Amino acid sequence: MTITFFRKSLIQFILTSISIVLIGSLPYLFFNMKSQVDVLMMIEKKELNNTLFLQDTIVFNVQEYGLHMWNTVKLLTTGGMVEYYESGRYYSLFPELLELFTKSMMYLILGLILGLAVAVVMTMLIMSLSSKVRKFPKMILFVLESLPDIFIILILQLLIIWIYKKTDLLIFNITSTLDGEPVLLPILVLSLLPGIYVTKYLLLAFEYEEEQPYVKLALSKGLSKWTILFVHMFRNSVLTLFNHFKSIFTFALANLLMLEIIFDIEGFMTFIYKNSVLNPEILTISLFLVFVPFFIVFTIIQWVLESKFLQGGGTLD
Amino acid sequence: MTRNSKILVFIGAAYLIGLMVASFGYSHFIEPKLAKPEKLLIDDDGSLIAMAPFPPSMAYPLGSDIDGNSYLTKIIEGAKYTIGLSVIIALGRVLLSLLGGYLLFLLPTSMKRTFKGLSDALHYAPVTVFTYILITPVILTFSWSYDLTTKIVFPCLVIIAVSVPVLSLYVQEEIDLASNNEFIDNARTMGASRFHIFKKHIVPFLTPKVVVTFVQQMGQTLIIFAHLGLLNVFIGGSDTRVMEYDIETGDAITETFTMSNEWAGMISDNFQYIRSFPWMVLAPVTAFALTILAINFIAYGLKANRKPKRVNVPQEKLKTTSMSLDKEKFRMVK
Repeated sequence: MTITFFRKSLIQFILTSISIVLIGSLPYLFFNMKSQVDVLMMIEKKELNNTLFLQDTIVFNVQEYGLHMWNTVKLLTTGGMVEYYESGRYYSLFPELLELFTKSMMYLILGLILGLAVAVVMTMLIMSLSSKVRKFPKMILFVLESLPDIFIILILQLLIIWIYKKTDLLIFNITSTLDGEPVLLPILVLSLLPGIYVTKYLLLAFEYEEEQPYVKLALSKGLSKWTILFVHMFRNSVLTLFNHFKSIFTFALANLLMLEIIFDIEGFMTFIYKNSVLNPEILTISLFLVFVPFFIVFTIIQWVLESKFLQGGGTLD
Repeated sequence: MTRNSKILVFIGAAYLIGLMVASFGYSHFIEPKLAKPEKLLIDDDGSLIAMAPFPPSMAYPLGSDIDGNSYLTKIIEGAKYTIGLSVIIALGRVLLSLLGGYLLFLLPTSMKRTFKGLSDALHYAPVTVFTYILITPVILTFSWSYDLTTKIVFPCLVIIAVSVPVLSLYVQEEIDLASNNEFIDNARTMGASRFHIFKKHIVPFLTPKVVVTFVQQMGQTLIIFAHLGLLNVFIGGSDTRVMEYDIETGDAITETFTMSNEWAGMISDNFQYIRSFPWMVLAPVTAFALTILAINFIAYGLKANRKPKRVNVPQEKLKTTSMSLDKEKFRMVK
C-alpha cells in the first residue's frame, strides 16, 4: 500500500508541476510580451510619447510559449538569478519574495488553524442542540457563506473604524502605518470565512454520521452523548472534512489576496498581483512556492489518514 | 419541492428580475428626463448644508458620488451590465464544460485521471489571480495596442475559460455516475448508440444539476467581477482607461472611467476613497453581496428540488389497491 500511495503522489506531483508551468507561461501564448514590454519601457523612460500608431492583436504564439516554458524549467532547475521588471528598472526577486511569502503564509496558516479550532467548537455547540433549534444557526451560516469575502472584509474594517470613531478605542490596527503592519486583525479575518466553510462541511458530515446505526448502538450501550460526539462521530467526520480542505485552502488564498489589498499589507499575494503581469515567471515561481510545501503537508495528512482509517485497503477519494 | 425551497427560489428570482426590470426601465424612461445632479445641498434660506459626495441619508439612501449622483440609481442602472455579463459568462462556462465533460467522458480512465491531476494546479492560487494575469495586459498594461472589441471579448473569454477545466471534470463525473445505472446497460444491449444513450438517458439526469451549476456559476462570476474590480480591472466600459499613459504625457483623459455604471468599475474607481467616503465602495460591494445572496438562494432552493419525482407516484397507487381487501380476492390453496 505504501508503494502505490507513494507512486500515486509522485505522479500527482509531476502532473501538477507540469500544469503550473503550462499556466505560468500562458501570457506568452496570447501576447507579444517581449515587444510589448519594450514599448512599455520606452513609455516609462519617456522615450515614446505617442502610442496611437501602435496596434496589436491577440496572437497564438506557440513557439514563444514553448520557448518560455523551456526557459522557466531551466530557471527552476538551475536556480539562477531571477530579476523582475518594475517601472523602468530591474530588481532581484530573491530574497524579497521569500520574505513576503513567509509573512503572508504565517497569516494564512495561523488564520486557518484558528478558523479550524473555532469551527470545531462551533460544530460541537450546534450539534449539541436539538435538530429543531439547529435550523437557526444553519440559516445564519448559509447567509454568511453566501456573502462575498470582500463584503465581509470591508464591513469588518469599517466596523472597527466606526467603533474607533464612536468610542476612541482602536481594537486592532487596521492598516499599515509607520508603527508596523496589522497582525491580529488579518489573522482573525482570515480565520472567519474558512471557519464558516469548515463548520458547514463538518455539520454536514456530523449530521450524516448521526443517522448511522453505530451511533444508536453506542447510545443504547449507555455511552454519553458527548463521548459519541467527540470521539466516534468526530473521528469519522475528519475524513470528509479533509476531502473538502483543499478547496477551503484555495478559498483562503483568495481571501488572503483581498485582505492584503483592503488592509494595505505588502504581502506575497499583492506582490504577485503587482508584478506577475509583466513578469509571468513570478506567477510560476510563486505557484511552486505555495504548491510544494502544502502538497507535502496534504500528502502526509492523507497518508496518515489512509493508514489509520483504511487498513483494509481502498482509497480516500 | 418543499415549501421553504420554493420561497427561497421565489425571493431570489424576484430580486433579480426586479433589479433587471428596474435597471432597463430606469435608463429608458427616467434617466433621459432627469436634470443635472446637484453638487451642493442648499437650505431654504440659502445657506450651504453639504457638498457632494453626500453620505447616506433619506434623499441618498446609499450616498452619492463626487458629482452628486445618487448611488442607488447608479447601481440600479449598472445592474443590467453586471448581471447581464454574468449570465452570458455563466452560460458560456456551462455550455463549454458540457462539451468538455462529454469529451472527457469518452476518454479512457487513465486519460481522465491525467486531466484531473493537471487541473489540480488551479488549487494553489485563487482563480482571480489567473484571470487577472491574462486580462490585465489587454485592459491595463498594454492598453494602447488593443481595440475595443478585443478589450471586451477577450476578458469574457478568459473568465469563461478559467473555470472550464474544473467544471468539465464535474460534468464528466456526473455523466459517469448516471451511466452506472442498470438501465443504461439495458439500453446498450438493445442496440442504442452512445449518443442516443446520452441524449435519452443521461441528459435527463444531468439537466437539474446543470441548471443548479449555471446559477452557481453566475454567483462565481459575480465574485470574480468584484475581486477584479478591487484589482482595478473591469470589463464594461473600460475602453479608454490608459492611466499610465495619461500620467506620463500629462493628458487629462479621465472622463471615460465608468462608461457604464458597471459595479466592478465602480469599486475600481472609488477604492481610493475608501477611507474618506466609505459608502462609495460599500455601495457597489453591497450590491454585489445582495445579488450573490439572491443567486445563492435560488441555487439552494433548486438543489433541494433534486429528488426524483417518480418516488411519490407509485406509493399513492399502492395505498388505493391495498385498501380493497375482501374475501373474494382470496383463493383456497391445498
